[in-house]
Amino acid sequence: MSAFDDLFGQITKGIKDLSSLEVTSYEGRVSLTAADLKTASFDKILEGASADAEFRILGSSKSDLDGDMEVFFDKDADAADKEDHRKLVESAQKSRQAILDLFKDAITAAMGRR
Amino acid sequence: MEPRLPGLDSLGPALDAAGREGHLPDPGRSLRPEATRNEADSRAYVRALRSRLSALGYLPDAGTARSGIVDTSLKAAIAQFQRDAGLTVDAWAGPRTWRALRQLTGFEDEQDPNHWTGPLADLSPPAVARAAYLRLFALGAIDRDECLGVDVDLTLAPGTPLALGLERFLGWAHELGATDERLQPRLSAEALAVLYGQDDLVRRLAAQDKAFFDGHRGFVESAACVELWLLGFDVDLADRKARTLRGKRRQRKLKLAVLDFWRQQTASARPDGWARGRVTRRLFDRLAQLDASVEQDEARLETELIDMVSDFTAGERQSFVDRLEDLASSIWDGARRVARYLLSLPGRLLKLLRKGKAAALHLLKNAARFVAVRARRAFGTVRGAVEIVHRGVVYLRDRILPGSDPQALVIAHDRDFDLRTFTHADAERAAVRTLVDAQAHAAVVFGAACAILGALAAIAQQVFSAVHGPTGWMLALLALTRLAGHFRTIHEQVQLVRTYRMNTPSPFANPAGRDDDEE
Repeated sequence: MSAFDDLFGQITKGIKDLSSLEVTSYEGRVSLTAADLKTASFDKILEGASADAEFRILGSSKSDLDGDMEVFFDKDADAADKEDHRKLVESAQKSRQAILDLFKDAITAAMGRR
Repeated sequence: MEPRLPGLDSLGPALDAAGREGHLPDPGRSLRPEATRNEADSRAYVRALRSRLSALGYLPDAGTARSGIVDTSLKAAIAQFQRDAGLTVDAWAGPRTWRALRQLTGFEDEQDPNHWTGPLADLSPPAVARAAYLRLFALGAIDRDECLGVDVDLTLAPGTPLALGLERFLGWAHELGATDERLQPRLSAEALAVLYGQDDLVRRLAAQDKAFFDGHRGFVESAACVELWLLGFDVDLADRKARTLRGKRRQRKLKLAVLDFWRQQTASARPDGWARGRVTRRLFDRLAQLDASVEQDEARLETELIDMVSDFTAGERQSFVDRLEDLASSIWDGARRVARYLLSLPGRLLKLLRKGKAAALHLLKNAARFVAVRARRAFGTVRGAVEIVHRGVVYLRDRILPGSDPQALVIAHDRDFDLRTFTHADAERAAVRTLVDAQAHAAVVFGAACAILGALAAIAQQVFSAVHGPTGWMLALLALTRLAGHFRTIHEQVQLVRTYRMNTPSPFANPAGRDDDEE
């Protein structure tokens, strides 16, 4: 059993760019079932939805570590859409901050041992 | 090569080693393995489960009480207990089930029925009657021939063993001054509070005269057995095994335990006639004194124990951990008191431990109890931490949020935490909001997982030397208590996730009402 070791490996695997964070909300129609989500990628979903005339970017935001932030909303986005998008940005920031803190703690601990 | 965090490099293998030894649940399991949940728990936990279910009469074969194996009889016993305790019946002994078991069968933690929570709070579930029966039996209020079996009569109809035992006990309690008037033999909050008030009973027994002891020999000896058992002495606590034990043998063991108890006290603390090994008011007086020892001395004791263990030679250490292995899983009661008891031991006996003399075995047993209580306190947190880390990693691994629905909202993220969402144009707002909340919940869990890993990484180097060995994880937990700041971080994160409430259920959570939250 090397479950813990594997799990810890996954935590840091593939992380490339934590300096900026992008959250994009799309809206449209697509013909998929919940079971399809296990096999289909998000790109595949967008590909299927983009053919629909109502496909649009509902909102998009990009925030940098230095605090800069750009936000765009579709002109038809209502208050609830914006609130949902804000919540998603907040949760993404929380996740990014968590991993940054983890790196910081680990580096601090490593320096403390020297 | 992928970057690895300092500290985590060695932490993973060490935790895996602890898992192989059965000290930790398996984090490699999937999130909802209905059939394998009990199996994923540590052997120590399974043994503790079996022991308590057996004491309550749910396991037909009392001989399997110390087994760490999960089989159909254990699952059936868990299910029956859950049914009797008013819990969700899924045959998985998760935190809620464990907590209910602990409340009903413990002699110290949360023993006040007024503080029971969940379905037990209204005192009506059949499991409460069963636990009351067990306690009355242990205190000698129920006849030895009426031990607690699977099919025992748990009604309070006139003449049943439970009714007679409760009436008898409440009479004693009234004589002791524990109640102003003699309570009716019902499983009321007042009656149960007296029955579960072991500390209060000891204090009141310490104030009785010789006539009371002479007139209530069975009761006071049973109460003494409970106390001495909690202190690690070799006595036969009246449980299901009592049927097979002859009274004389039980008496002999009690006498030897009383003698051993007094031998381990300072000369000035021993009363006249202690060598007769009788259960007297002075015995309860001394027990009450030990129980009232100041708590801050626990810290001193802990330091002494750690220093003592770290001074062991390799052989002594092996002997110590072997003994721990044998004892730790079966002594999930009484450790608080034992820690205080150890405080009263003269230093010369501590030295005996290193010399391996027979008299030191009691000390070893008590030390094991002390370590066990630390482990037990940390056990829930550790299990919670493992679960949170597991869920956090599952979140990171699965690019599409579990529970996403193409007819409502699909949420996807990449390794750098960029988020993309797709909302179906015809989706209902409530369904979308549910998934947005689920994403927020996942972020909280992931954050907690990272904080836990950070804290573990910080302390990893300091406890690894203790992790290696058959019961290393238990010793490591003890060492962890010295690093309270970091451990507090882990505990806080576990509590954060436990108390985090969403407006709607998370797809990470089990179906409503399942036994899945850490206590």
